[in-house]
Amino acid sequence: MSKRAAQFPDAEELESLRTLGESIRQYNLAKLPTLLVQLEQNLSRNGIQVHWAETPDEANAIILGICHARHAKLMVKGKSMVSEEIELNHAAEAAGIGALESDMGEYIVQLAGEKPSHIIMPAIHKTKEEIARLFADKVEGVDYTDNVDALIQIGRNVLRQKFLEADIGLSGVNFAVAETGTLCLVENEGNGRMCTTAPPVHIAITGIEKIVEKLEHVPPLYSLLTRSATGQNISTYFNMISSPRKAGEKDGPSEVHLVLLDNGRSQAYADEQLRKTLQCIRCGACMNHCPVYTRIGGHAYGTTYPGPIGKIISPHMLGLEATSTMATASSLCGACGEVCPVKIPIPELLMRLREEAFTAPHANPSMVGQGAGYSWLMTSVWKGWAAVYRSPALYGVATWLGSRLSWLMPSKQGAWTSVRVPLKPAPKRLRDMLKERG
Amino acid sequence: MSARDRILSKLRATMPSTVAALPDVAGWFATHRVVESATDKASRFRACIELAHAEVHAVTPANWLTTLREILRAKGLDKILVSEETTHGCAVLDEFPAQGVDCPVYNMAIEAWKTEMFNATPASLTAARAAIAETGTLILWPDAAEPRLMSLVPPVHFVLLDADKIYNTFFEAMQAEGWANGLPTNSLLISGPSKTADIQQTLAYGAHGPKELVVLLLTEDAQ
Repeated sequence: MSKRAAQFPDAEELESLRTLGESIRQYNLAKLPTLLVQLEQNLSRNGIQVHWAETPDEANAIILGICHARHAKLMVKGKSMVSEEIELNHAAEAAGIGALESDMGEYIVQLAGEKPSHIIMPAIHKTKEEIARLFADKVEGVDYTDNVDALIQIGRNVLRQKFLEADIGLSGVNFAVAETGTLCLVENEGNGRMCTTAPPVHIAITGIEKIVEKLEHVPPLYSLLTRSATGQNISTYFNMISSPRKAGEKDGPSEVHLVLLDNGRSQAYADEQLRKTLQCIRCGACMNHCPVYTRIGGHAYGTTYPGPIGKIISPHMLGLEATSTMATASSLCGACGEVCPVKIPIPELLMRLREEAFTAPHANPSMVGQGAGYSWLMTSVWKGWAAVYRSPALYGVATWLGSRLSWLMPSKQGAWTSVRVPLKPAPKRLRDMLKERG
Repeated sequence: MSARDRILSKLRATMPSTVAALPDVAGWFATHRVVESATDKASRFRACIELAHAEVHAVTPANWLTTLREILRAKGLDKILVSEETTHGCAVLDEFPAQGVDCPVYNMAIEAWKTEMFNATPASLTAARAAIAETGTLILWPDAAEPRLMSLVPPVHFVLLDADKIYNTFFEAMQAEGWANGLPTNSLLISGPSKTADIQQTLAYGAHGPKELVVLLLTEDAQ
């Protein structure tokens, strides 16, 4: 948080850049279908093959189809949250193809048989001692060391060999530029460049929303992304890929593919308010500033995308049946909305999702699973509560009854009393005590 | 209907009817970024990229080869990958082998020598197309002469940069060079040696790309 703050010393600059970032994202979302077609045309013209997938299963089938056509045995992966979203590693393994994560954090998490707990720093939940033990146990010929440089060197050596051997390189995309047909990747380690350069085939996968019309839209978003994500004024590498290897060129993949994934994004797109969810550039600042995320960690959410952005995007991917309570696990403190570099009104969207999940099911819902959390009893209780609190007379009667009948409260109150004393109305109401004082 | 048509028809059915105004990116840069003199740009570039752990040496056309030779010696390197299709590559090829420095050239497709590139290429020399002062960034457009892996696989990467080619911002660079009219197979911004903070947020250099990035900043007069 302090590193991000140090990157934005000038409040006016930050605010105007956020406004610009927001307008760029909204401009491009407004033209999304047109831009997708333009992107497809320009990528195809450049020799990059474009595939479309509505669901994770379709995306996996496309990627595995390309792997099978090439008789691929090993796929090295650059950091891609969309590949986590479709659980590509699982699908590849089932198809007999090795899928190896090459981002240091992702590699560690995969070696431990876990999933990332943060979209930018996947292994942030592990200490260096835990990683040292993991390497000593799982990497052949490695002795225990908790020296971070030595640990990184171990990862580097293992993965270099894999970059050399791999048949397929897989990556995500940070920005896809429609006017030039270019895929942009942001990274510090160089594994993204390795995955997109060393193997003979490169497959990129991205959500349909990561598109900008003009190349000039990239610099402001890129600046917001690195400064918000890790507090760096720029990342080590910005990798712009516009075509496979051309005649005469001596390296680079001879085939480049782009998989465009919907997976619920078109549902968010259809509603003017929910569409703002798609402005996200995946910087992770909302997680870093979220009091809930920083206490419970990323795994507690149980979804690919954790934290505030996870709460507002996951319901579109998984349906509200599986995610109805996500939006309620928030104090609505507003920190996420305040730091969002593209001004997504996350607290407002959380309120909207609560409403979508907990109001009675109705016709033409704007989300799959609308009303999934609805219960007649709970809604009636809250309606009663609202009525009592709106009327001073009713409130007086209710509190009088409460104080007189407090002995009726059960001593076991479910989960509450497992770690706390039972709730019991006080024998005297505040208004009675004030009356006694005169 | 294909997945493509289904996705597009869903989006088209719900896209906003009004067209949003084109964001004024140029206006923002004009009001929020200063245009600096050549000297100021060079020193800002240098300060920024040094902060990112790159080494910068000011050189002139007369002494850059000697400087490069000295740095190689200081780092204990006796092998450097160069291009035989560039003037700077040829200059190295003319002098270094006689001084006992092995100078392999990138003259065939990577498939023919991938293992050697990964396991036996300790350093490389490429040129930068230009640079960006604001963020201390090198711009590289790898091509047939200096291919993509040349700036990625060798653990020490030397970059020759002409100090006259430093732009104020990324935005200025792409506007001035008309990038929107077409980009090459691969274009790169490089702002330091490879790094990671994935273990306990501790910064470590040399994650997957070069462990060391050495910039030879070429000016007419040594500063």
